[in-house]
Amino acid sequence: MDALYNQALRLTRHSEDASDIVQETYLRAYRTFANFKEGTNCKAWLFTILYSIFVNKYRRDQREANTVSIEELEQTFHRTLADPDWQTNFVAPTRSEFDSQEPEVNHALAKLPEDFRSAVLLVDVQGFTYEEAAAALECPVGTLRSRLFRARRMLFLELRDYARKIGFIRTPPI
Amino acid sequence: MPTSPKHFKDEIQDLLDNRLDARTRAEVERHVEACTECRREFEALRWTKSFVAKQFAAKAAPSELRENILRALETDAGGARTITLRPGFQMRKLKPIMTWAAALVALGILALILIPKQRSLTHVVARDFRSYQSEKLTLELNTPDAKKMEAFFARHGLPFTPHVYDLSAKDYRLVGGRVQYLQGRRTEWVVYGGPNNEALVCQMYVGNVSELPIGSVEREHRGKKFRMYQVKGVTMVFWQDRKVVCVLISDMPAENVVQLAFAKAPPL
Repeated sequence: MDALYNQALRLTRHSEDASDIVQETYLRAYRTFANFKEGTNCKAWLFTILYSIFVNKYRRDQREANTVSIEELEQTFHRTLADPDWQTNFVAPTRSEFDSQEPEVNHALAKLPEDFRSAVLLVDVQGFTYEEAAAALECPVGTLRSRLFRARRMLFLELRDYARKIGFIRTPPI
Repeated sequence: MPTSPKHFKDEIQDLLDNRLDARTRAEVERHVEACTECRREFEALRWTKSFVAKQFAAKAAPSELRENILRALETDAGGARTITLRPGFQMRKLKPIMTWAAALVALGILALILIPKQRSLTHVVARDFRSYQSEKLTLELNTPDAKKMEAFFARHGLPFTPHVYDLSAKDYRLVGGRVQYLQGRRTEWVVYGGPNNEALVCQMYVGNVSELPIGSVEREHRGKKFRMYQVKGVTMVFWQDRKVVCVLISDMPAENVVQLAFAKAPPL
């Protein structure tokens, strides 16, 4: 239930809306339990319901995902990596390196178009396969892959200064 | 630039998400190792994936949400159902049975969904303590005032008269507390900070120590029996106080927890 609540919270950004969505998800799961195929992933099924409720009741702007130019994004991403200042080593964070969620990180995630945010949360946070995430978001696997592709690049660009500031990305010794 | 044909693009993402067959994977890995641009891209994306996964790891949902869901399911299950019966059948007699049956089915489904793996009570108690230490479990009220803490629990309708121990004579100051669910029961869950900042939790719930699993060490003090468990470095000392089970939980040396329990548990 915590995973569902967190997903809803990241989507709506309001704790009360998130609680309502999770409650509605369980109610709908109960009413449509006959549709659940035994042997399939129950968690993925619940997320499919959750996302469907979110899209129908809470989604505000369905077209925002189309405003991102892939060419522009790719250019900025590779320009950043090619910058001589970015001859860096990337250090994977450990849990002990931070104890709480930082506002900058929440802000970066919130800036992603909603479809991209959902893709990243399902695959990178919930550990869903592309197929499970695509089913939950009711889109083809290719679309899911493309959203992830863009979302991670956008997140990297949003987070780079913050990450460098607190030392998660360290420049190697000369 | 990386868009040139000799560089990989989609394959780097597939490598990151472990979606390549062994042959392609070896080929992409060889390239990423040799090509600075692709390696940098792979490392940047891997860092982002790892960072996001750790930063957005699930936090606990509000404690009242589970109860609200349960209530909504019960209401939904007991709500109107259109059933055609032969003339003369007394629907009035059947309705309460159907309501209960539907509620039971709803509870069963909820249990299947919410409790994929049933753990023993002592494991759940120890896990909650560790969740608090790793800040996955947060307090609903932070206060050093035992009376305020008791008033908080009274407002939240625990099925027993709340009581918060004053441990200041033992150098343990009250930090705060929350209503914590323990296998479907609403419990009083209070945190103290020790002289060296060690965490100590006192949890109380309606129940009986006879429900606890086997494997405890039995201790006796002033005619009262205590049951001590240790799970993954967490010591728990349980005792019965009328209809309430009390437990002290900490990862400090076990004997310290036992002595605190001896000091605070009311004698028989």
